[in-house]
Amino acid sequence: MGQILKPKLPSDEALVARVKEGDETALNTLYERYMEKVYFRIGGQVPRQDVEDVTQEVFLALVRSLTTFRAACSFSTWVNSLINKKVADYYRRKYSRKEVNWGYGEQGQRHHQPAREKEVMVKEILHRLPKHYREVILERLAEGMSFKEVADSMDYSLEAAKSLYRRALDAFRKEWGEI
Amino acid sequence: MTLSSRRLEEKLEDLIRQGLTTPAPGQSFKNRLGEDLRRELEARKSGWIRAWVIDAVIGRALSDLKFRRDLLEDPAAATSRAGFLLSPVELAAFKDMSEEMVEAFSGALDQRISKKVDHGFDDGPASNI
Repeated sequence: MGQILKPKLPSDEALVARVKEGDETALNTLYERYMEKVYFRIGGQVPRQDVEDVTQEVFLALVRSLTTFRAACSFSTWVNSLINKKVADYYRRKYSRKEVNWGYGEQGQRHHQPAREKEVMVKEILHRLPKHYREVILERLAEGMSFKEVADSMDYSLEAAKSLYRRALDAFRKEWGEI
Repeated sequence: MTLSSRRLEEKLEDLIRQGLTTPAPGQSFKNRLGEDLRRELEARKSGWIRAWVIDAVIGRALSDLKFRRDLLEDPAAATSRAGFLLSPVELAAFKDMSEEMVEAFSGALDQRISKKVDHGFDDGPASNI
């Protein structure tokens, strides 16, 4: 008694089906649902000044390729794979323009690096880590997910997610050097 | 995990967290991107051919003689009057359609239905027929 029934929100997949039919409202709902999630996920991987550009690339690619989306995986998994692809493209472009300088100087000097350079270093090291290490660090530290949420999202047991996280931090520390 | 290794882990987490912190997206960026997406969808819609829309229009043309005549005469007006929202490419598909093509489609449909009846419907219980 007194139970308030919340209206059931349409699933991502139902919204995708409507966008495929040209429904702008459904596109808007999907956009509202995913905008910040995509933005912050990209923000954890590319320097701040480029986050908007890469976010735009991801969303445009999403609309252009929606017709190829099949419900073989969840929509959020599909969005994440698009993000990974666009971030990889971003670093490929950077490498090809020789903008990345891996020689940061002596490891001990990193303490004195300005915050902006530290940000770039953290993101570039993260990008060099294996994908599952990068994922678990982003989910924990950029998106603030609990271990339980990380485990669910990556389809791991709780213990396996914790262990993966520690290994990922170790790998990061090896790349970073002295803290 | 020892206290010192836990402290080291916390220090590392702080360092990474600081590096990952991204300011929230500005409203103007959100609006601009939202508008870009709407335009992208609009542009793509103009090139779409949706099989179910074509089937629905042809289905109506087979069963409704007046609609069929109107469709052959002026596809844009006929489909719009009947409540179909067609993309330019879908409309173009009907512009070159002739009476013979509709008849041919009707014949092909009859054959498909007969085949289904001969071999039994596979998508519904026979007792309902």
